[in-house]
Amino acid sequence: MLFVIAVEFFLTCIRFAYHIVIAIIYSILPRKAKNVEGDIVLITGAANGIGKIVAKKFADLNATLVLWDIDKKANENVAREIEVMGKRAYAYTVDVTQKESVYKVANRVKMEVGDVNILINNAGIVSGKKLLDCDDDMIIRTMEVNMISHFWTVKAFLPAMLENNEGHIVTIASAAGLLGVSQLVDYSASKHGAIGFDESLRHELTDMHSGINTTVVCPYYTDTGLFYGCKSRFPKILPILEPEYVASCIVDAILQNQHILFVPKILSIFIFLKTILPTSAFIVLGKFFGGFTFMDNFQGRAKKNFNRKF
Amino acid sequence: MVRSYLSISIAFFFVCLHCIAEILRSIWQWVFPIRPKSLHNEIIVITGAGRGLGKALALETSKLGAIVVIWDIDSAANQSVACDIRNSGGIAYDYTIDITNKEAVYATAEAVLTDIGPVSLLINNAGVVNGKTLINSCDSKIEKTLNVNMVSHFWTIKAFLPSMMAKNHGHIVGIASQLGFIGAAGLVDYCCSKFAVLALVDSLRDELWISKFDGVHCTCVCPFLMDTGLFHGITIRFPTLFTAIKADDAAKYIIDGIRRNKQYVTLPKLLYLGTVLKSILPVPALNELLTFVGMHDAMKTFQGH
Repeated sequence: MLFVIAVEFFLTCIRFAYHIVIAIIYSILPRKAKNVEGDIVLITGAANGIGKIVAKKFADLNATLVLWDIDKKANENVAREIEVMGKRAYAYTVDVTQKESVYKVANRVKMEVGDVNILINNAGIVSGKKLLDCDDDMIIRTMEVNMISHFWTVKAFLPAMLENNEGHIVTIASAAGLLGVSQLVDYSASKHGAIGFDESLRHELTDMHSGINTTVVCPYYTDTGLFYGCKSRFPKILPILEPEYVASCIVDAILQNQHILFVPKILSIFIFLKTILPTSAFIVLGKFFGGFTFMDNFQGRAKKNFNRKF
Repeated sequence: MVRSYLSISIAFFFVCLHCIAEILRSIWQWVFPIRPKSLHNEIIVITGAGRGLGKALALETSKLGAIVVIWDIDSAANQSVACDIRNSGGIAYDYTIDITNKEAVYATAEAVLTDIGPVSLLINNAGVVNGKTLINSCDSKIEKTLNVNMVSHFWTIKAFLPSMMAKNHGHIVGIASQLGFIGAAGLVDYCCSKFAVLALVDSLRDELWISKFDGVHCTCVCPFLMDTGLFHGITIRFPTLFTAIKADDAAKYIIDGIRRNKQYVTLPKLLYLGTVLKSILPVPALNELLTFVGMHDAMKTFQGH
């Protein structure tokens, strides 16, 4: 028995070393990008911001786009813009927090368009208030849109991916899913949850030898209006990112089947430091890089759509 | 421009010195820990205190002279723990409550504040495990896991934090898990909830720190597997390396950490190495290690309570 474990451990070490070498090679050379022509790509929150730009980039790559958003008018505009490009897009008005609606519309997508190959859980909202100043309804909404909805969309589309033995599930999280932030208690909790969701799902899918890829994306603050008013202390090191740039990074990561994407890459150093430094030391660093003043002038995006629920 | 780069570089140099000072201070405090604060006559609310870790925490804090307020959905379990505490000469109050019902949380919190007094320590401990893969989980179980383990923390904190801030005296504790640092197959909803608890406590700590409420502390507790039955039936490949911790021992260690105002209480400490490795290793390499220690297979034999 001990011999079997020893052999297994030896083989594990070999494979471990192999993966390290591969990772080093691919940190210098780019991986081959997969072809998504004809693939069906579904994006939640596709009417605005990063979702919209990612949709158009996939359209450029000749994928068929399925656009989900709660904002019917803006969503249909994006679909029209993609059609004008000579590409295919289908717009569905969905509130991803309503699971019955998610399942119902998912069935419509399956019948009207086909099996989704790439699911991008991108929809996200921010309240930007201190915990005690935040309405309970807003807290619930943030958790539902940013995190809980991922359960319903994945449950809706994963079975077909498993049957086809291929697919890709993308979780758009945030740098706030790696570090806690004042005035973002609910947002940070939801984004951490989304990362935990992706990581556990990845383990499940790996164990099943499913052929399904997962990617989790953690961008620093992006200038889509979601965090309008926020300022970075050192824009040269941690700039507020251009949505176009973030969207390019996301698409590249998906095409190369990358598991985790940090934008900018330097975030990975902060994450490593967070794991090894005592909390008080990390707070000193965080304070220097403007982590505690970032939200001071937060205004955010106008939240017309969310009044519907209340 | 050159002058501004120079001044930023000098500032960064001093920040590095400050970091090193904090590291040295942490090492010093590890060798010579600060005196634990007294819990005598402090009013402590513990959710999910009817059994398992919650019960152990209730009994342990009662031994230290605290007034223990037991919250659980199981009224028989509630009363049993309260009885045990009173029989040992302690003071306990029990409330039967479903913490996923925020109206009930606010009403019961109001009753606690009126009938007993201001709460100085809140331990969000209640937790459930569904234990199935995502595809095989029913939606109601997923929702229950997320609501009990995570969303309920918002309501209990909102209920008790204002009075803590009013006196600049209090402590919020979130019982997360080692699975708040690392994901696992068969536990998508559970890990999601525990990752979120970590963030909630971290962000709240930052918020209180910025608002200068230095008398209100936040602690995140990340235990490994315990002998409470919550994960009954799981397979641990190397049980001598990964032993289930006794709930009573865990409770003592956790309360000691809380009394010393620690920001994190991780037990056992060694498993935290997994989190450090996660931040540096490529995903497939880490996956090889997790496969070898049997992490992907652990939940396949799960039975639960």
